[in-house]
Amino acid sequence: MSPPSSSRSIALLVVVGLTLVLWPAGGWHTQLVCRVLGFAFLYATVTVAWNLVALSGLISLGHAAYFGLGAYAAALLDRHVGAQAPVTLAAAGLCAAAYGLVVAVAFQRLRAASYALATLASVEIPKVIADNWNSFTLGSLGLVGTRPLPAFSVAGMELDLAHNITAQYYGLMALLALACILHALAIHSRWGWALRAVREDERAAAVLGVNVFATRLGATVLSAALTGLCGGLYAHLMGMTEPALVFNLHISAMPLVFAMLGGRFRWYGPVLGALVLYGADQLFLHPWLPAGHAAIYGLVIMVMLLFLPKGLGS
Amino acid sequence: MTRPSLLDIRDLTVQLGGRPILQNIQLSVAQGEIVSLIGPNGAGKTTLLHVITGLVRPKSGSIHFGGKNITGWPPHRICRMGIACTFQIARPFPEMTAAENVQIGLWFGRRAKEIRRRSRPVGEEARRLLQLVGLEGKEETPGRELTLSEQRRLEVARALATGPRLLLLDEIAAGLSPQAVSHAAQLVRTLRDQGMTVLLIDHFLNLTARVSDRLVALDQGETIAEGPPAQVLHHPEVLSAYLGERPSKHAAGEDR
Amino acid sequence: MWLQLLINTISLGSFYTLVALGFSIIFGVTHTFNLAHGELIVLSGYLAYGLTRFWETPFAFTLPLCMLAMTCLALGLLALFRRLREPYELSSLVFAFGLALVIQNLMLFFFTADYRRIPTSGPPIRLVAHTLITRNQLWLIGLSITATVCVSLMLRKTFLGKALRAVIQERETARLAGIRVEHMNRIAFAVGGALIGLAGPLLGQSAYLHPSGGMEATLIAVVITLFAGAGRIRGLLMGAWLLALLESGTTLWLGSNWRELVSAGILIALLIWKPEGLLARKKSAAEL
Repeated sequence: MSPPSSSRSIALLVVVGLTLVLWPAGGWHTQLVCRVLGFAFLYATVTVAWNLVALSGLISLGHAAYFGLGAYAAALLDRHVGAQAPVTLAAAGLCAAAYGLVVAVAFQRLRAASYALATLASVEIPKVIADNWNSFTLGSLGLVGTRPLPAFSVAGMELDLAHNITAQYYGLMALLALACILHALAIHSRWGWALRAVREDERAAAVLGVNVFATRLGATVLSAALTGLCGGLYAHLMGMTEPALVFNLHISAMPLVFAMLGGRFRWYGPVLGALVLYGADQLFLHPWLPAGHAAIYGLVIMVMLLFLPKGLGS
Repeated sequence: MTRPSLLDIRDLTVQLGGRPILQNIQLSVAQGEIVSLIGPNGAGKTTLLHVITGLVRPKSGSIHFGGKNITGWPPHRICRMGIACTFQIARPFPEMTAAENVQIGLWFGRRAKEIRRRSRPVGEEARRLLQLVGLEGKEETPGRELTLSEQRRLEVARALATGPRLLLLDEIAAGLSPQAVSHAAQLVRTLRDQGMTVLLIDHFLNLTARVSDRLVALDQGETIAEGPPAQVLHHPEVLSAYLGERPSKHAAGEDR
Repeated sequence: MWLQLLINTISLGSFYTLVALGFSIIFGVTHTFNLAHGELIVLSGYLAYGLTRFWETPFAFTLPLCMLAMTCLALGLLALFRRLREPYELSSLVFAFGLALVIQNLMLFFFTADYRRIPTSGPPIRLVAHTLITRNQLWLIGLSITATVCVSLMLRKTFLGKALRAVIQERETARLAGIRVEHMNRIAFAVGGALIGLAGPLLGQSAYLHPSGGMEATLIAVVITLFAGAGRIRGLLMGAWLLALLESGTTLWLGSNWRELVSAGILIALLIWKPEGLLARKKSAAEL
């Protein structure tokens, strides 16, 4: 499934990585591209998180729940308590992780289509609450004016995450790098073998000593926490959190599309898919077709399921 | 029986969907013994194995293993206690190579202490086990590309990788060629010589007479006979359960 | 007030039956998990909206046109679904999820995100002192029940219906008995498409159309099918009316916004209660 990376693909990765690192120094439309790619990094991190669950053999259609919960946790703490960004982000991760724990326990006997369906429905609960608890979440209007990320200096370098798009770009890139390490571990470590065994045949895995429930639980909670963290970052970066935006079906669809496009079983696959498709969508398709550009995501899902030799398993 | 019993099952009753599958089963297997479970289709043999491995929860009764009550434990804990099994319908991990299949057992099937104490590297140990079951040269073949007989043998190797004291084999000889059957019988004897305790299911009576110390016959969820092979195979209830009215001397060789 | 609740429940419930019937026939016969069911209904609603708005087609004429269009579309989709690989249920679910996104965005492109509504055909009728029944509700109840009865009669009385039910219950056995399963797939998609086509204009007339409104209808169809089992018409009716009652009650006491929570909550509860859910199959004796 995942052949050892050949030297050619390593070379390609180095080129792509260097291009991304050096882009802010003077590429084409630097500001715009950095803004778009910054968000591509954010969604790539969500994709990596989603794939942790997929690696355990479950297709989730409900990651918008974790994302939205993270965004709301951060935005609400910022608004009602005035907490600093590190606190709000930690809370974002924890809130989503708690929901992930509930999902993992409640849906522990669901598989395949049933699991996909249940996760799809699980988005509705936090969404409807956020939509209607007017006194706390301001309902469907959403929370506006969430403070941007702070500026701080590392080793004499000023890193203004609040306003400097280049700084945000590198910050998100660092987050993605960490996510990639996690993803590589989820494929190549002992834990990765447990995930793989559970994915390929969970009864066989169980009688060979793999703790199926704990493996899935760990993957789901970790995935939810990372997705929630991304949601929190989204709230601070955008400055506004609306139920219709953060609990949107597209947030759930994106990781599925990116991961399938890039290849789910290589550590860089989901990232590649996210950068290519999100970049193409936002830089070329969106300006040309403002309403309805997101059809590309659905179209990619359909085309891949029709033409990939292994369908969902690839 | 003077040897201490390794597995002790008392008053075991299992229901699935309100339907009784096993009723008041008593079974004990001594250290180093080879016991065969026989019985017609639907007698509850596989369910009994699944209860021992923890895949199916019993309604009542108890299972003791090595003096410990393991009733209701999850499968992975039972595996680490030292019970390994193969499946009736072989289920190798389809995308993993044969060696990787075995490595899963080596990595996860033992208690952390034992894993640290292990002397040989994992890859070498996997190769040794594959050789033991006669799969040398197939290390890099994905599970789904192996033949049925090879998949069965892979399952035995994978089960052995967890370092079991008790091995449960579900129909490892069903549907195999005569040579493969004698190979399987040889394998079971080799394992017993190494001190392994084996409980096997043998619906078609392929291995029973050749390797077993003792037979347990099940029919419709209940034990109908128990004892040395020759005695059980001629037990009138066993004959009627297998063949209806017409007992025959060729019962032991009959295949579907 | 109770009478009004009853009328609302009956009209909503009839509509839900219609929504669930199409889904459940397609799912029961072909095992296709059409997550885009609701989107197709909304699409049909927009089609009717376009017809009444730009060509001033009378409402009654939009119905057969939409049914025809949706039947053709459904048959086209069947050709795509047939190319999917195992595991079919999950593959078709994810595929239809993609399809739903495409349809949503196409509708967003052509009709924008504004709420649209097909104009009503007349003032409401006063039944008793404070109880009103709108003409939409009459359309809804009348047509939904007619369609349900037609499908029910077809399934029970005709040879074709018996073959369809055989496929729903035991696909492989039906194939062995000489039923042309491929043919039955086409019929199921055609019937399902016609029901979708019928539901669309009714939805557009009695509620607002919005490109992202389809998922709710899909969830409703899934909930009712899960509750009743595929192809059991009486179960579908009961499930639909029960759900409508719960939703009407929730709307009455908590406000219409909390209504969406009902179907999602029931769906999750049903799935946890019946984990094999829609995919329940008899286990072979060997697996026991």
